[in-house]
Amino acid sequence: MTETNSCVEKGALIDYLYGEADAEARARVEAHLRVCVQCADEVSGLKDVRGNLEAWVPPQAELGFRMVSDAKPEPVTMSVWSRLRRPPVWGLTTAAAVVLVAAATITKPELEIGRGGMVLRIGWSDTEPEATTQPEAASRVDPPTRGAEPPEPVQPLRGTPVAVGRQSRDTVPLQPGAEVILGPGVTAAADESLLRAVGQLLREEERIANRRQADLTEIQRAFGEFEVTGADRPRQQLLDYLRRVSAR
Amino acid sequence: MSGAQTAVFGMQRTDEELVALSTAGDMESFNQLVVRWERPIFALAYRVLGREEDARDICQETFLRAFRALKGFKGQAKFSSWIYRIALNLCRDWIRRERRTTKVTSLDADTEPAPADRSAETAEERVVRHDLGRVITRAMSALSEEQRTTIVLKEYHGLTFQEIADLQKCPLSTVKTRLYQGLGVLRRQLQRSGVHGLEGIVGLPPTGLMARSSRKVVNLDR
Repeated sequence: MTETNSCVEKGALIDYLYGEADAEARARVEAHLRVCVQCADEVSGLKDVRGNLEAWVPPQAELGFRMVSDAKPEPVTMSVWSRLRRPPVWGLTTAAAVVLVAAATITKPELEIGRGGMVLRIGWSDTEPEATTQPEAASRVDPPTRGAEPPEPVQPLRGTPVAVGRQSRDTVPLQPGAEVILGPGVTAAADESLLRAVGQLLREEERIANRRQADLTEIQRAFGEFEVTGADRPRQQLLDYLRRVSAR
Repeated sequence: MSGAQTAVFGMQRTDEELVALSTAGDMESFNQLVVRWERPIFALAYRVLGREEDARDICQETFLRAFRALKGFKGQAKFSSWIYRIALNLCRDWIRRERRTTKVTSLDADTEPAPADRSAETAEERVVRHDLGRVITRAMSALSEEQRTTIVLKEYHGLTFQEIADLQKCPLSTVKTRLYQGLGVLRRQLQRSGVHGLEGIVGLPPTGLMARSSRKVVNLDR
C-alpha cells in the first residue's frame, strides 16, 4: 500500500508529475527518486493512475443546444386568439340582425299607411290593452321620473288612434303636460284638445268645399260667356270634363 | 451581422470576438460558442456529477445563464474560465441539493461510456476499457467534491494550477494538495479493485493510454 511521500514536498512532486516543474526542480526530484525507492514507487503509482483515468470517457450524449431569440417580431399571421378577438364581418352582420329581430319581437311595431298619413305604433299593450296597468303605463311614459314621486294616473284611450292628416298633425299643438303614449289610443288629458282639433279640421274641410263650389260656379259662368259668344264644341267638352273631375 | 460572416476566410473567430458579436445581438455567434464548448461543459458536469441526464441539464443551464449574463461579461476573464465557473457553480448547487436528499453521493458507474476515437481498438480492448471505466467511476465516488473537481479540471480539461485555483477560489498550494491526495485515493481504490498500475488494461498499446495528445484537453489559453 502506497502512503504519502514524506521525502519530497507535495507541491514539488505534483509539479514534477504534471511536467510543470522548472529544470532545477525537476533535476532535484529526479535525483531523489534515484536513491529513494519509496518515492520512486509513489511517483510511478501516481503516473499509472493518471494513465488509467484515460479509460473514463463520458457518454456520447445528444446535445445540440441552440439559443433562440425570443425578441423576434411577431409573425404576420394572426394567432387563434387574435382571430377570435376579431370577429368577421358576417359575424357582426349576424349579430346586428339578431339584435333587430329581438327588438322587433319585444316592441311589436305596427306600421299603418292610410289616407291620412303613416302611423307607426310600438309597444306591448295592444294585444291585451285591458291588462295594461297604470304603473306600466307610467314607466313607459316617463322613465326618468321613476323612483321619484309617483306619476299622475293616466287613462289610456282604447282603440285605434285617430288618423289625422299630416298637416293637421303638425298643426295640432300639444297641451302643456300632455303625455305621449307609444301605442294605441291617446290619453284622457289630450282627449278634449283632440276633439277640438277634429272639429277644426271639419270646419276647415267645409270651408275648402265651399271654396271649391264657388270656383266651379265661377268657371261655369266663364264658359257660359263663351257659349254666349258662340265658342266651339271642344271647349264645351273641356268644360264638361272639368265638372266631372271637380265633382269627385 | 449574420452568422455566416462570423467565419472570415475560413478562420475561426476567437471566443472573445464571438462574445463581442453576441453582445451586439448576433445570436449565431453565441451559438458558435455553444457548439465550441458544449462538449467540454457536458463532460465536466458528467465527471463531477456522474449522471448523464443531470449533466445534460447542467450543460443547458450553463449556456442559458451565460447568455443572460453575457452583457455583464466585460472580458475580465477568458470566456472559457467564465463559463467553467458557471458550470461548476451549478454542479456545486446540484451536489448540495443531492446531499440534502441522500446520504451518499455516488457516481453512476453503470453509464455506458462512449466509444469515441477507439476505432483502432479490438473488442477485447473495448471490454477492458469499459470495465476500467466503471472501476474508475466507482473510485471517483470515494473522492471529496473538491478533490474530484480538481482532478477532473486538471486531468480532463488541462487547466493550469492557477486557473483551477481561481475557479475554486483557493490558494495554489491547496490545488496541489487536493491533486496529490486525490490521486493517492484513486490509486488505493484501483488497487482494491484489482487494478495495479497499467496491468488492468494489459494488451492496450501504452501510447494509447499515456499519450496526452489523445486526451480531450481544453486549453483555456486559446
